[in-house]
Amino acid sequence: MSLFEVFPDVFQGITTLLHSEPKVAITRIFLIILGFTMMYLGRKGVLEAMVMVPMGLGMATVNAAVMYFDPLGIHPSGMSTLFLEAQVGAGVEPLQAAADTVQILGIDWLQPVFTLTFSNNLIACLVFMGVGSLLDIGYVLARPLICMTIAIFAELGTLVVFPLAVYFFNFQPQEAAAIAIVGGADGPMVLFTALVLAPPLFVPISVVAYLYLGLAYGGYPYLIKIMIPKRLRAIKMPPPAKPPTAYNSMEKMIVAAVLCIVLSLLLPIAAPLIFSLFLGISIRESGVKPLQDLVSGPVLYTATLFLGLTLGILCDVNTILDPRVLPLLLLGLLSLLISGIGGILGGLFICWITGGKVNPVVGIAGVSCVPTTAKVAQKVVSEDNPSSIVLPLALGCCICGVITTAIISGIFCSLLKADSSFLVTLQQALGNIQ
Amino acid sequence: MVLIKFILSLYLVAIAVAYLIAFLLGMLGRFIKLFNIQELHPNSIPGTPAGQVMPPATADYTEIAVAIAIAKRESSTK
Repeated sequence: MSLFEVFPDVFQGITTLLHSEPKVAITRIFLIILGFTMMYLGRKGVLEAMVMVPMGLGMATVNAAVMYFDPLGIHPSGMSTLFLEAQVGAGVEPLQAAADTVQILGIDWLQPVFTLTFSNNLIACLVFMGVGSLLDIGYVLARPLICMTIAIFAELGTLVVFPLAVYFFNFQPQEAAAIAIVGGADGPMVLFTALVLAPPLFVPISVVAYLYLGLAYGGYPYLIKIMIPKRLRAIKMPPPAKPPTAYNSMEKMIVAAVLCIVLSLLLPIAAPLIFSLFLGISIRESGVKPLQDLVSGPVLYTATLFLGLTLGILCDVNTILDPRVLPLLLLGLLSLLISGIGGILGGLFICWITGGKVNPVVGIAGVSCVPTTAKVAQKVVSEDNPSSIVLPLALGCCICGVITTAIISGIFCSLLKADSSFLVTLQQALGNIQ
Repeated sequence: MVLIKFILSLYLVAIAVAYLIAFLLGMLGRFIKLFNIQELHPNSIPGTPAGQVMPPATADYTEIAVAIAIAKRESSTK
């Protein structure tokens, strides 16, 4: 046997590419290039580097490292990778599913991360805890009504996309809700809602959401410049007539605890995420430095790294060529775009009612995506007026954006979860109309 | 129409809850000041390195106990 004859067995990444259908092969090459581009743009600062670099590398690698390997016999082509198997256990009886999961846990290196932290929302909670430890609730306490009003405007995408997904794309109400919540621009919240309401769509929705959240950093500045004239973008916000009340960390911690309890009381279904966020805030204000360092450093960055990496690995050709992904890509984009427009309209509204004392660019921060949109707001304002500082108010809007998304997600999950009587009534009403 | 009604009522409920939270935040912000809650600055145990909660395990605890006793005596005589 010559070396040339064993080449196909040795270099299986290339062999599988040549033996695949043209559509699959072209998509794999496209995803490798896309992953590489995402990494490059992340490093350049156009996209959010923290998620885009691991996600891009994961996406490029998983589409290169395909080989003839299918221990569970779930891929008709017989091709798979040694990274993870998102569909393990789908469509088989519970005992077989459990056996398959245990088997694949011992083979695919990222399977433990996916099985033990994604499907139970642990990773979303860890990211939220870390994000909470970076938030200063004092920004919201300074102007709660303005921040909350902007955040409510910025939920417009969720409001508009939900009926569109049902009427024009024939998604079930719970699937439509999981897609629409992408407009809330909160990665962990999207993971949570998709998992509760539409587990079969969990992977594509999460991938779409994080792809777009990375793009928001590059795309929203253009939206701001289209919607807000330079004259308004350059507004320098005057200092308030009376100096804002200063809160010490003890007071902030008490406020965080009260808010956590009230929100959990109202929306128990979203309590794990709400608790994680406010735990992060409480740890920040607790004064226990080792805990602060742990949560805002290793916990946040480890969770974000594995989140980005796992989402990148999930962007394999099977996920992307799933026919349900195209409408998801469209609806996710629409949802984030309309939320951005809503946030800016909210900013313009607040600018108008305060007689031009608030820079309308802060409206984009209501979309949430902590702290990306706040950074975007300050970046755009600084280009037009370097002496204008909007970051504190923008961060307040960002935090309120998280709260409003949690509220909407909580209401969606309570009303539309699988065993809800309301869902049955809604489906019957929709069935009668259709 | 059913769906539009549903999403509009959902949005109204969300607005009501959001403003309830905003109102609560505003009230808490004012109310909490009435209690005049002071920032706690506990005196760290002598021998504790900056930024840590406890002295290291290898610290000389006899020395620490003496330092605490002296600090207590000084504060009671003030």
